[in-house]
Amino acid sequence: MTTTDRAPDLTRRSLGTGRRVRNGLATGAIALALLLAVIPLGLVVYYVIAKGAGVIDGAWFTEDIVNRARRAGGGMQPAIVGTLVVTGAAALMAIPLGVLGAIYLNEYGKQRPLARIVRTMADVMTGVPSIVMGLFIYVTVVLVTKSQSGFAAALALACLMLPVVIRSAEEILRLVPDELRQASAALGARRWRTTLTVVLPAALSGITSGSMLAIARAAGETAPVVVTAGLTFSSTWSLFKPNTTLSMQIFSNASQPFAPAQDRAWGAALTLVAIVLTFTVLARLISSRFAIKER
Amino acid sequence: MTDRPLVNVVAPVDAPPAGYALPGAVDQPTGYGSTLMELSKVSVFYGDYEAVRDTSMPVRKHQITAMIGPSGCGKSTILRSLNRMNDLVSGARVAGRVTYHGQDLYARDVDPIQVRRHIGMVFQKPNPFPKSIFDNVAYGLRINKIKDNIGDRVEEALRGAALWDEVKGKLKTSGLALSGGQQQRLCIARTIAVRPDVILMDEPCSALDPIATSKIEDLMHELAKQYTIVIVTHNMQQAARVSHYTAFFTAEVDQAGVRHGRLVEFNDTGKIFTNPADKRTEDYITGRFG
Ligand SMILES: Nc1ncnc2c1ncn2[C@@H]1O[C@H](COP(=O)(O)OP(=O)(O)OP(=O)(O)O)[C@@H](O)[C@H]1O
Ligand SMILES: [Mg+2]
Repeated sequence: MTTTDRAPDLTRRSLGTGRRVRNGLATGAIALALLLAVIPLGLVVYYVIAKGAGVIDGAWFTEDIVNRARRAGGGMQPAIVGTLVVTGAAALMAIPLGVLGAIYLNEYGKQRPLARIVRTMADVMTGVPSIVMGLFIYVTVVLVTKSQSGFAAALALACLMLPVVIRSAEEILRLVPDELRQASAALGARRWRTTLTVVLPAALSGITSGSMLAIARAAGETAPVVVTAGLTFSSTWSLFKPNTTLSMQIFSNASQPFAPAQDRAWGAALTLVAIVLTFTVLARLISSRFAIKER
Repeated sequence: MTDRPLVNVVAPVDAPPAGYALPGAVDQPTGYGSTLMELSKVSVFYGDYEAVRDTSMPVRKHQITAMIGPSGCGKSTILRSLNRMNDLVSGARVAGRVTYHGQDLYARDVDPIQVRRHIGMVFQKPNPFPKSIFDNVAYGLRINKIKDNIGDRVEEALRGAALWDEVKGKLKTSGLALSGGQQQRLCIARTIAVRPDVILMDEPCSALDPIATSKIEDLMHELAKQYTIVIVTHNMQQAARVSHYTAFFTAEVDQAGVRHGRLVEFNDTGKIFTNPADKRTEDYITGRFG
């Protein structure tokens, strides 16, 4: 070590040329990758808005769907209502059950045999194709009740959501520091109390994100809904009647060769994107109200 | 380090514990110095590994008992056995007897939750809940179903932890927005809010600067008037400054080649630091330990 009185050069100029070039290249490559990822996203949003906005007017939200693919006009109310009913019912079934399951796995079961089995089953369930889940519900519910219904579709979607909610919520619960659980226990709190008042609030925003992702995926599912809910053209809030959803309308209208039907498909796509986005933002707002800030 | 002497109590070697009266601790409560908790032949296992072997020592009422020793010798393990925190570690098992007011804490019908309500704990790393300062302190009251005068008791606990003046204007802000030393005092406030009988502290000052450390040490002197304190520390000056009794642990390799924590010596702090009975203690406190 030699010591000099001269101040060392701390500017970027003191770096070697090779290093500066590598730095520039890496930064450029990352920017390019970001751009490549953003392009498809931007195009999707652009096309959905450009093509879908035209058909959306007041009647879109209030009128029944026209039954003729060639004819323009009509609305999309039945599918909007159907999407809300079916996805809402699925979320009400899957999220509480899924979060409870995650609590069992992370706070109670840990590495016990039962917990390991549940974890493996959830992983297997995640891999089941959605159409297979639809057929399963078709066989066990639709054939038994002899009727397609929003409820059957909700069950199929709930089965698809459940493993996703369980696994994502468990990951989030795992991130809650053990020191908090110990601090709570040292004050004489029982485990359920610790879970309810310390662990869950700390994990709330993460659990909400995971659940919203599951809802968004479910709202866009088409195949299991087609076989379980049927295809209707007038709106019903009843869970126990055949129903229709936006995803089904996108599918059935887009596969028609007629321009009015294709316009309807785009409009339905825009509506679906808007609904999912609205609920995601709402859920974020609500959970940030309850969740405790880190700082 | 603060400007205090290494050993603040240089008492005659055979003086009774009362000879170590701390500044301000004039009116000692009754029962002072009697045995409140007792470990007899306590061994703690993690799975098959016996982390600490055959420890016997008392914890005296309204006194500060320090546990010192090299890293990994089982101080935290023994401390956690005093309020059954080891129950939370899967595979951990305690053999021997730990008594509190003469009751075996590990008897079959003892509820660990009740144990922890009487024997609180402050951890090495400050771990406030991600809640407001007020809710952090009120948490223990709420789980103990104390509903009346929560505000007063929170204030009292914060005053007791010498934190009130710094936070009284911002009780609604997050406990995580405090400095490390303030967070640790918040954790102490949270512990004393439920008025436990015994407070266990696992290296409460290891993350703190000398000023925050001396605040907490002063606080311990205050707290000892009302509570019984057991503290684990790596800092021998701290043990010498604050404690009345000191237990020195070390790790030993047995014939089978396995390391176990052992209690080497338990005595009045003055004796341990001025006239230790065991060579190993002397080596450790004089810094000759490897
Ligand atoms: N949860 C655990 N599982 C298995 N072994 C453990 C566990 N906790 C501690 N041990 C082991 O028990 C022994 C004593 O650990 P302990 O944490 O009590 O030491 P310590 O004296 O507190 O050390 P330090 O001063 O570094 O905090 C160590 O050998 C450690 O590896
Ligand atoms: Mg330790």
